[in-house]
Amino acid sequence: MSNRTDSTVVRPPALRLRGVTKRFGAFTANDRVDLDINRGEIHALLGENGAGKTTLMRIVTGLYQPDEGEMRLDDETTRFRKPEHALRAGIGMVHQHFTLVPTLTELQNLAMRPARFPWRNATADVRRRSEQIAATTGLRIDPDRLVADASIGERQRLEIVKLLCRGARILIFDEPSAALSPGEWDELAALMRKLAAEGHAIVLISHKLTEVFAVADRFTVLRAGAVVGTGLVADVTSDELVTMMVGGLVTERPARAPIEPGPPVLSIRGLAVARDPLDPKSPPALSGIDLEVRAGEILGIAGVAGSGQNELVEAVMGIRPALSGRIELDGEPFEDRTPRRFYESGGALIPEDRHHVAIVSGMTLWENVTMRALRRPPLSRRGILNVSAARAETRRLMTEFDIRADTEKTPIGRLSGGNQQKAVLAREFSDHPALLIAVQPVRGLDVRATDFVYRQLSEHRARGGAVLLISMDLDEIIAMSDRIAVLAHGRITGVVDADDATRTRIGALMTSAEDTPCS
Amino acid sequence: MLMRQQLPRVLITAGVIVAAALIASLILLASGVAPAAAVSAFWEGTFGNSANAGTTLTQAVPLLLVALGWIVATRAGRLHVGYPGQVIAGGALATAIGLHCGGLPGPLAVLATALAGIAGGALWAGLTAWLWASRGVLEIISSLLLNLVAVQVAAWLVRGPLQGSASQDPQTDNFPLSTIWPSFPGVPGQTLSYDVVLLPICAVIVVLLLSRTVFGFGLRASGGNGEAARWSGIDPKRGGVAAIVISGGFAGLAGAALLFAGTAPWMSDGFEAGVGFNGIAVALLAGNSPIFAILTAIVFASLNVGGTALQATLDVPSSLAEVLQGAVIVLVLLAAVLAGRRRGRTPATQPAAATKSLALVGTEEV
Repeated sequence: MSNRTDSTVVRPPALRLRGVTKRFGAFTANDRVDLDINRGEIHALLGENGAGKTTLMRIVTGLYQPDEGEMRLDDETTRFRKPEHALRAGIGMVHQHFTLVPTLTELQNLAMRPARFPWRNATADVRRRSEQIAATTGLRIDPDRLVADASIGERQRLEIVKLLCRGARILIFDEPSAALSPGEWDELAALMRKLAAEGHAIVLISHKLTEVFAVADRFTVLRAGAVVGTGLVADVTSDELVTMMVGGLVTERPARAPIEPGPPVLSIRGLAVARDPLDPKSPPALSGIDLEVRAGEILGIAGVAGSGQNELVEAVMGIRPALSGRIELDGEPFEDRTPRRFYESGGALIPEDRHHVAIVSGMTLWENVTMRALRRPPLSRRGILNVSAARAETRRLMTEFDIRADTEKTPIGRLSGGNQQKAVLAREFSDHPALLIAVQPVRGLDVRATDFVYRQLSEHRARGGAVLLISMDLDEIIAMSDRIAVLAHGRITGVVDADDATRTRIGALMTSAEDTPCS
Repeated sequence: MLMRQQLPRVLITAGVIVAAALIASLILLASGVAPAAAVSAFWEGTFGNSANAGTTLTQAVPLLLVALGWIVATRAGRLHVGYPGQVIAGGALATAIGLHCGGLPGPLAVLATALAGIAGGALWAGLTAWLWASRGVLEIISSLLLNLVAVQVAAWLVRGPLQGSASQDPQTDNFPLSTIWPSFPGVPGQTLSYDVVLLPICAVIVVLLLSRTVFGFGLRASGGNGEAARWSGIDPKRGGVAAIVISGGFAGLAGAALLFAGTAPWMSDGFEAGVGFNGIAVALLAGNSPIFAILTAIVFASLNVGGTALQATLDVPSSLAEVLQGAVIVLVLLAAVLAGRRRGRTPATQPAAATKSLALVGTEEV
């Protein structure tokens, strides 16, 4: 700190890792990792799921202690024994899942921090700090608003302000765009640039290469715990990065043959849903929804998070009551909806929130894969399970869907996210559904698993199945869909053919509040 | 594989037993009794002869039945603690029916008391289940409070409608002979009731119910992740209600067993004698495994019987047995916390409420 020099002299990196190794039993999560993070740069940390990014960042933020190797902060050897130490040293992480208390105001959230004098009221101090930050970075918060009332983007901004308030100089963003709309992402990208320009060091963990190319200066790729490449983003192509991440080119997604769409498999007419399922008079979450998904097509639903996507899925599934509207599934009226009847009528679902609604993590892989099939012949008769048949069926699906697990008896919670998702896929496709509803089906998956999911969706379409694809990722929607319906503020603001779809056109529909009739 | 799964639980149980033995010897030394003499008196009193062994095994039955009820309910994710109340309700209904079954032939009368016990416990548990399913009242609260109600109702019954005509004591008339559950004639003192066959039979039934039936699968799915069950077309409310009612049925049967296979052929208001809560400890000590619970039920029964024997032969206060049981419960919870902490270090576990992790610690998927 004392020998602060001007910018012509090469400064030591803000954070330097040398030979950092972390083992969990026989498994090496990080293998002699070298990493330099400089001030003023945005450094992208890339790698497949399970490549060791998270472990490495947990070491940097003091959650884990490395088994070997050293960490130098501003050229001084450091060792964090607890997360607090890392925070004091100026390293902060914006987690995918925010660490905010929704029932407190934004200012109270900022004031919640390890204080030197616990009895002192930190609010005034924090208010001053947040004003300073607003002045220098333009990051403005709404101090007296409840966090519960803030949007996802605003909460993320608050997380960043919180870290800056605590004096963070190295900021780590873990998949920051996962919950953001394209517009919010652009704002965040600009903010990251600004913070870097002010001399902060920024680490960006992301699966989306477009984002990496949009903001990052340098990159480091991890594979199987070790660094396989590092350099300037300007010097690589997206294909080279993917090759580094997966160790070989992923096969191209098969070009999609145009398919003559068949009869409608799902048709929704005039669906309206209240925001509060127990109170029909609450403001509508969905109103006047008309949609039609035909056999052999993928209908994409674009929209920013919270536009009514969850309510749409829940209303079709029968989890949430509808105020009005008719739904037909596979040619039959689908009234008195329950999840059970949804599946019986030919529906299948890949939900967004896998842990919450798709898997029972304490149960085995085979129990999860056969969760529905188990309850009817041939896997059970007169209420008695045929366990060996169910396990044999699971082993077959494990080969077909490339689910990697020791045995079918492994608890599904022990599998990686990608393998869990493949298990969900196996379950949903093994029913041969007429309609598949897929919500953010590749969220959090690595390149290889993503590719697998996309291929399965395309094959389902080629077999004449219908897919309702709901995603906040515009690129995914545009690449996968035959037609795109845009959902904004609980209404369909337009339906566009994939051939005419551009980001700008859909982005405009996503933000338009006016009510245009759908085609 | 089996060994690796079983080993931690066996170690925990052994550790709990050793620690409890240590605490017991300290108390014995403090009250001036040589631990060696106490051990031999304890053994003599519990398994030393066939009559005492019969008493111990017979006392294990109600404990195991309550434990099985707890296992079914927790697997479905419903942590209720209404077992004392359900034991009382089952025993009271069995008494009310049994007192009028004098004219029936033996097997029918016994069956009538058993079914009445199941019905009484299930109905009492049904209140908890109904409050939970329709009103959203936490089952742990309502069942705890209903225990107090059951105690008062039982006290009123034995002083009112069910009070015997023979004496002014708050107890019922003697049960008709045909309703008393039969005992093995070979055991002196007729201490070994035939209901010990319920030990293996009920444990196996619960294992099969949970692991081999669609119904049990639905229960476990609802308990493992209620939302996922609901989204998969399993109704977790139906499963939860069924699990609470079944557990009440087990507890009610335990109440009938306490009375009709017990030492005294009448019902008094204290007949529950802590079985309801001790049964939970039996299940916890067994890591919620039905088969293993047979063993821990016998351990708990022997603590009870042995405590009485110590008092009779060495003049050790019988509350020692209660102290020991209390120590075992505390130690089991401690062991559960330790095991949970160990498990917490392995990745990919979801945060669970403290009570839940306590209750489910060591739980193995059957």
